[in-house]
Amino acid sequence: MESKNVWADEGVRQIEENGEKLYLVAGVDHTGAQKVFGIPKRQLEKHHHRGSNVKLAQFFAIVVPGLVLVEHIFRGLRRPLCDMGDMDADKAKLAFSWKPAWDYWWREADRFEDRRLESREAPDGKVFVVNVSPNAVRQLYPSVDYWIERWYWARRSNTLLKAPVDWENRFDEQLK
Amino acid sequence: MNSSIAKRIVNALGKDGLRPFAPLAYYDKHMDCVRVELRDCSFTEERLNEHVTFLEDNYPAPGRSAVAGIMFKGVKHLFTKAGLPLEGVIHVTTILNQFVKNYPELVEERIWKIVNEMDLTVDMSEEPDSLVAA
Repeated sequence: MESKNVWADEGVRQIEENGEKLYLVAGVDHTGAQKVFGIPKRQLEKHHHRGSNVKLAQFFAIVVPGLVLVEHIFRGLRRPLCDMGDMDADKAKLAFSWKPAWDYWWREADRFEDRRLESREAPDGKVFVVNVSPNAVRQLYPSVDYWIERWYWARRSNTLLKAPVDWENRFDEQLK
Repeated sequence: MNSSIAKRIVNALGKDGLRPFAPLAYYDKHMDCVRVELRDCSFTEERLNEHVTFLEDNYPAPGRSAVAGIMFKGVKHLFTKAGLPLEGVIHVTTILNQFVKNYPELVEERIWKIVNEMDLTVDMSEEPDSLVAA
């Protein structure tokens, strides 16, 4: 098993573990304990290959600094989800939410110019959500506590202002 | 700030620059969903029900619809339950048809409009997005 630190930069640490390049990000769980959130470099490279540049900007500028600022954590997605042969895999998935100050975009006419990828104020009435899974293969990737899987904006709840709308019905339980 | 975010992306990934986007559909293995994305934009995920979520552009250009994508959730779950193979290259319309067969309430014009906007396919044999099941 290999675990090699390659470089560190602005909240992201890149390591190589078990032959895979991983980005590690610091965050906290529902108890307030510091945890390490990982994402394979090739997952981000896939977004790059697809030209999903706003998604990449949101990863580096919202997800990376934001996982220590999480306001709410929910477990169980309450929807059909088969993962690794587990027909009830939705139950283990977590949703972390908070309200970042900024978002990223480009005007349609500017979207082929890298320098025109711009920041702007976060959208009104929205919160940011990151879906993660507990690391079920710690023996292979011991540095990772949780895997980052997806990130997006959602309308905010009226009952919990930094949680997604309808959180009461879309998740099994509120951990934080 | 603005140009530095693009620089940071390409530096972190060791690439020469950002790539142009083209509408696409792909299967997210660990979230068990097919995502159809028509624009490279900041999305709000607008949950219709446990099977479908609309992807809405947070800042659509004037005159453009905010709906810029869709997500079909529980794809593997559905196909496994139905005993159908889910492999190779599949048209998004084939997946939607299977959803409609099982969940007739999904016959909604908005859904078909997005799916029919382009003839997109999903490569189910594509390497998974993350390592959780590696």
